[in-house]
Amino acid sequence: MGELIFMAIIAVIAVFMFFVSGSFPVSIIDKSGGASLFPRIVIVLLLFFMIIRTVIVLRNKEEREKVFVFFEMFRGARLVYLLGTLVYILLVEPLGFVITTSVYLFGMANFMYFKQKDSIMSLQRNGIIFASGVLISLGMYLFFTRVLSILLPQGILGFL
Amino acid sequence: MKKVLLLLVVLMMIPAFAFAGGDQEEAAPAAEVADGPYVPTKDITFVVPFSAGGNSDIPARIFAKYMTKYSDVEVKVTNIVGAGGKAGAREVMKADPDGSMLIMQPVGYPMQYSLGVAEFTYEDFAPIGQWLDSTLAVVVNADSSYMSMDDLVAAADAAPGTIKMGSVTGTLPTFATIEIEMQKDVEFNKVDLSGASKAPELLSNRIDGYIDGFGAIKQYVESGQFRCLGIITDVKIKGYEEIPTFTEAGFTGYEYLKQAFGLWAPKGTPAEVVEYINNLIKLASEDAECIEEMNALGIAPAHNSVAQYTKNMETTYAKFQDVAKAIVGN
Amino acid sequence: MLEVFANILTLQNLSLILLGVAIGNVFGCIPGLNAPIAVALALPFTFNMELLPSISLIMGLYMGCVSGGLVSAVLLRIPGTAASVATTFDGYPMAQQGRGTEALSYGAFASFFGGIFSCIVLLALAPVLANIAIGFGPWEYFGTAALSLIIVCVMMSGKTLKGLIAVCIGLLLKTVGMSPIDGVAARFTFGNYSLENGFNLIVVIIGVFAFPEIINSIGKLKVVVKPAKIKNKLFYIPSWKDIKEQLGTMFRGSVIGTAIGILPGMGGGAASLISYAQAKKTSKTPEKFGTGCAEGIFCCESANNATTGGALIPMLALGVPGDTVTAIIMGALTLQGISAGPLLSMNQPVIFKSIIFAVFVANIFMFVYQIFTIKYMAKIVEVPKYYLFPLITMFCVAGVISLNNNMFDLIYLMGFVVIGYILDKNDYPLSPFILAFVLGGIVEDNLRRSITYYGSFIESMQQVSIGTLFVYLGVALLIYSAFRANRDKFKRFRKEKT
Repeated sequence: MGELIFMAIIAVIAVFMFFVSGSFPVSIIDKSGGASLFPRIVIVLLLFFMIIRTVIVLRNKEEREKVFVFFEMFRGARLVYLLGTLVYILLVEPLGFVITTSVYLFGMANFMYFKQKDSIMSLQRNGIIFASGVLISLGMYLFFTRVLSILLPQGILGFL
Repeated sequence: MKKVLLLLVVLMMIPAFAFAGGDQEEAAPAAEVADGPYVPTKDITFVVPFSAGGNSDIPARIFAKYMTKYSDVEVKVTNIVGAGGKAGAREVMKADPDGSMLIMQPVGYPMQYSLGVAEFTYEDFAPIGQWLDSTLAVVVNADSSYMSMDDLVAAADAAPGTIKMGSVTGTLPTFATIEIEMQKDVEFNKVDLSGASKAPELLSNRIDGYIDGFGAIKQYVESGQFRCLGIITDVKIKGYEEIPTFTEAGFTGYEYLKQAFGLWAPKGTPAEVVEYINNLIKLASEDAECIEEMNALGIAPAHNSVAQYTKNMETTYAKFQDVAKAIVGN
Repeated sequence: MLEVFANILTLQNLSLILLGVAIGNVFGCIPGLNAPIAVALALPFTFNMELLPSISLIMGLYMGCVSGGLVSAVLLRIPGTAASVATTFDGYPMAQQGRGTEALSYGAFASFFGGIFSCIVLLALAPVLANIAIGFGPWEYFGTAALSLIIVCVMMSGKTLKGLIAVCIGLLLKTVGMSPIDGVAARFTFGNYSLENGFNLIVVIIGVFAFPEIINSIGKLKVVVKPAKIKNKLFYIPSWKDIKEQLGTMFRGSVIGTAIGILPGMGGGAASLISYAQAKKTSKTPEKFGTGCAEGIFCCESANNATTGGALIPMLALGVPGDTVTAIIMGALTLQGISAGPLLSMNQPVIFKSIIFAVFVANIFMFVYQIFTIKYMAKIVEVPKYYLFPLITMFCVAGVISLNNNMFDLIYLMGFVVIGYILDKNDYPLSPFILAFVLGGIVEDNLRRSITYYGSFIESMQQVSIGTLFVYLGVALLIYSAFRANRDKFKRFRKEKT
């Protein structure tokens, strides 16, 4: 059942994209079929293949009862990891790479340690991973920006 | 020979420097000189909005080297790639207007604006000046029967819409093709070439001809595989005097099709900073080694004043607006 | 020829190649840092060098980057580039079984084999093969790319239909951004400038492969696999028996890699995925693929390294770069006053051969460097997961930022994490999805170019060309596989009746 819902969602998005493609601006010297040609071909093919798949799923009991994996992604420790990473990603620009990464490494390592061993990290270990987290993120930052001249967000630590 | 040339250039520059000293003492308007009242403290980042090693990047790197030669700070080339070159401009637009971050203005910006795909114009920046001149050329396969532009035009006239002229659509060569069509009242089949592999299409005769920078097609002309029917300029290229200019081929009003690269600073950059960088361009473009290195690639350094450049930008933007109507309709 | 040897075999040039290989290897490992970036970063340095030293450094970097992807793909399931995607299929399971050093030594040897093979082809046949590449116009590219997509799906036995759905989803997502050819339509961007460039391939790969694997493992944090003790050897090379057994696989992989490398734009991602599909189909034990079998590593690592020599062929012989890296290398040569193209091998044969010889030496150094460093690299898997996962996430985030310094890349990265997880966990194969992303631009651009060349799709189909042949072949393959899937069903149906 889940797979059918998944395909239905994809189909709705595809049909929506099909209609959006109608409003693409057209260049009058372009004789190649225009910007909407290729997306439309793909959408038609996609719908065609999904219809066949739907028929197969409907006619096959085994397929029909197969569990569709989706919500497993948002359960327990996985949810914490996903949310933590999302917060990290959203804050990395305003706060800067070094601060967010240090905090993220520290927090996530603590959480995963707890999940794996069912006990909290010792204070001493905490100190070590905090210090190494700061060092690693600072080292990364300096390596990328100074050695490779690749920009990473500086954030509120203006002096870096 | 080289040494004599160098000496000449140095001699020619002495007055410029002398003038610089004088200027400083009198604290006159910060014009014309490298060592005038404005002295940069930060390195200058020369943003190339295309990838490293490309046709725009290579001249930029060479030119930046000579700009560094005449400046107290280093002129570094950085590539900010994306959105057909627009990503670099957007990045520079946001930068501090202190002359430490500049964007290379490719020919693409006025075209993209005229096609409605870029939202900024030269007015959103502080134009500094032009630094590079390169010429477009029309080439056909050496085996073909087209010996001159007239042959090509005649063929297009005889069979409208079938002679395949290639260009990377939406770039200057497309506009050049349209200009030829408009002036001679013919119609080509304007086919799109992939930016990375233009020559194979002509080598294998899948297209009848294409337009590209002279530097890019030079080696095929030398190897005898292509024939160059004309260069879109009124000045002969040294060493290739037998190639007719577009004036000789009977075209007029094609000046806007010059592949001129300029330099822009973020809007609000103080006038003396702009003048300082404009003068760096001047000094570098007059450097004999720089001219030699560029000429080897089939291009030439250029220079004009800030006012002249801004005026050129104005006419170029207006001209493209006109021609773009042939592409987008309305 | 002696002059060529003398050119490269100087202490300075050899040490520059080694330096390039070592740095390139690091770049190859870190997602987001890849060969184009490494070579572009080296450009300013080569600017002030002589010609031969700069060639040595750049070729070292190029080979190092291409091979370096192996390490992170095998040990962490992070393919740094599309070229290493196929390596994760068998390399990662093997490393999980504690056979990481073995997997790495297989990969290193296959890389070496593929690299040397394509180098020899480059030396012997560059002008001939370049002429074949000229024969490939838009219609032939369309045919080749479309057939590649179909082949990869059809060879997913039992999952062909799901593969095709994955291909279509990939192609559709690839159309987001500025429209090619006409260049006036911003497709499906909904006014967001950051989307004008479309979804970045590296971001998609990281999102689809690296993150879902972490999410998956977090659910089973308590299951601790004790990694097998790494035997303390000085260096690791596969046994003579393994090499002999895999010689055919590597040879086929190298041929596929070189052939695809010659075609500008196709690249290592397509080569290794097609080689993997091909090896699985022709293997005597296809069921072992994906569970950590040697063949699965040999076939794709030989193919992706063989593309290097292939990609250099049109660049050196025609002045047409096959991929981003070769485009930058060509730029570096131009800055040195050497214009790659038809005149190079004629007017400057010594320089032409020196370039190839530098690639040859770089491949040897790469192999030696890898077999000696495997011991240290393999230690990565011994790092406890509670340290490893946050660190991998950090590397991925930094890698994504470094691509364009655009935070929006991180936002859609999370979207691809979800898509990748759903597809993978529900048996929608990921390799057709990624291949669609790699080839989507080629398929569309060349389809539309063919239409401008010949008037319409129907007229294109009437061209006497390899492109037409490939399109028919693709359609035939689809019909055949549909028929075969149903024949099995008919048989089962008949059996049930009787």
